[in-house]
Amino acid sequence: MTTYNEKEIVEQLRNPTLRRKAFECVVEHYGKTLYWQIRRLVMFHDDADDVLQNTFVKAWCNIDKFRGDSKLSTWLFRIAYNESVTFLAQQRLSLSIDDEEENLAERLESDTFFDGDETQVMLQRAISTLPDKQKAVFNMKYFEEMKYEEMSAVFNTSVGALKASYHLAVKKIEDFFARNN
Amino acid sequence: MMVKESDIMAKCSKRTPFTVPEGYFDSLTERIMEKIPDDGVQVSAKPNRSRIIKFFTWSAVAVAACFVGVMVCQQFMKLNDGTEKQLMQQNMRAQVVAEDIDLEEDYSEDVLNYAMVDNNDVYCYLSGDGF
Repeated sequence: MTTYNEKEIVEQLRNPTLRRKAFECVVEHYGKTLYWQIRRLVMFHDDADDVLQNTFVKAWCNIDKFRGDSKLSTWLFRIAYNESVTFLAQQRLSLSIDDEEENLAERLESDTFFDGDETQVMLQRAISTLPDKQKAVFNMKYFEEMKYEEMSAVFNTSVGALKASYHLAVKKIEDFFARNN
Repeated sequence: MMVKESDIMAKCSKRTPFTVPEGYFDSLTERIMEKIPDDGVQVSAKPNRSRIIKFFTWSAVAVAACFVGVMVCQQFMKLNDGTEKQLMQQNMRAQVVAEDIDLEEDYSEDVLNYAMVDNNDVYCYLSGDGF
């Protein structure tokens, strides 16, 4: 297996003859990380798989717009986040907030690809009530332990605002537990 | 500012409760690359299930709207029909009354002709001048 060199890959992406092979390396390198990031936002495997495919198709179609100002990972995380948010917005159109919350608990408990106890179902329900950006910030910090500086580049938001957003998310989750216990 | 995690957050494991089908990541790159169009070909992203759900939802709404529209038209036509009937009945009644008035006038004229009395005689009689 060849080692991943981002600088080389970015150069190859600009070369039409090497582009496809280079993109395959990008998918190989970031596929799993992006999947988990998307999965934590959309929660279900089939949805995450759809959104992940859309993310890479969109990245491929817009590869010329990647100027290399930011890291490739930052650019991909941003596309993945936008695709997830679009997906969640479409999903919300077909369900009311109450239905969504109830439906989520039922769906999670009966989901073959969810292996969590009652507390984890409750945590996911609490996370689902957060605004999309706060949800993403919470997931990235809590589960992935991503640095605020890195998140700042993805969301184009200051570190201070991200810290405040995470703090607020934790507070809302605690309140949710207090209300539902 | 450091965020101090409470007991609740400490109770929640940081281990992800989500799992994937067996071998999902082994074939991930291959499956994604199959969806990637050739160079220069711009294709729309795969329609996800929620778009399909949305399509059927809107179709159902459109059918329901058509049904309601037909019902409203039917009711409107019925109402119009009733109003027309009422108008016709009113017209007929007015016609009958008008005919009655015409008949009464004709009858009065016949009587006056028969008695050979003209309007002047009637005025004289009414003013008390006598015949």
